[in-house]
Amino acid sequence: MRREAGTTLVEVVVSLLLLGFGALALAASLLEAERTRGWALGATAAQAGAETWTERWRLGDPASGSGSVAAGPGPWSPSIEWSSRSVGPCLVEARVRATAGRSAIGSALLVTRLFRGEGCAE
Amino acid sequence: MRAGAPTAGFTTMELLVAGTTGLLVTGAALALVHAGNRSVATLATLQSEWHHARAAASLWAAEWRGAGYDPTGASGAGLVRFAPETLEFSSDWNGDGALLPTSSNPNERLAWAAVPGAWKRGVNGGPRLVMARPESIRFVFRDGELREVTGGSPGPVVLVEIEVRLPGRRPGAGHTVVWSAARRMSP
Repeated sequence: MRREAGTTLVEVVVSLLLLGFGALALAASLLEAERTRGWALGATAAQAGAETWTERWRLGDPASGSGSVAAGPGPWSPSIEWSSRSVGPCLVEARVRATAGRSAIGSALLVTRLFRGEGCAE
Repeated sequence: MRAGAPTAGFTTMELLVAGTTGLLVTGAALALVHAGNRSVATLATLQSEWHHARAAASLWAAEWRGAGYDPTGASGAGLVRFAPETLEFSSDWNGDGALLPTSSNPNERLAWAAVPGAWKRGVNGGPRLVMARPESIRFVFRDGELREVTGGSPGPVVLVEIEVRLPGRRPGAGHTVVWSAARRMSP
């Protein structure tokens, strides 16, 4: 027997499910985009922190040896790990790794050297 | 033709209901896509601002590192003026003992201005915008011992930081990043 009029419950449910899936997919992609942007911001802050550390080290900041420090707030916890050592007569080297988040993926390594040391002419 | 009401096809009411439902579903889907597009565009714009900031900071740092280059010792190159919103310096790049912003040495006198809404680099022909839309921005000056220098003679200033804050998606959700550069020439 033919339907009288309107749509069936199944049709309505299927339509709403399709719409719901679409909305969820869209929300998920937006969330991912926001996370990626947050990570990019964290990476930017970490790299700026590494550059700042390097510039200060070049000025003779007493930090030497190795260590790590946070490079800014945020969920991606940008941080830098640094180490400095002598690599030859009158030559010291600093390595600074900038990382955002727990993953080392996308971390950047800055390496710089200075002519410095006891008895070394400037 | 048979007599009586037709037994196949759709009634006008069915078509109207189906059409209205279809329009509602399509409208909701379009609204979702529109919201998504807007969000993605916002994210892209915000990220683009950071790219601009990064590029501007690289240019500024490279120029500030060379501030005071004066191979003849006669040009008087160095830091000219410094304040949280401005940084002026000079370098005798062609080594002729003079600081003339001619076409042959267009970058010997430089001025950087940092105010909310604009980060500008001044060179021949007037200031050029290197970055728009910073929520707040300022220079911080430090001497060789990393102590902050807030005024007086520009001589001790060696390290300069630029603090840039860009807006986030919501008010108050911005982020601040600090870039630093130390000039290589002794004051």
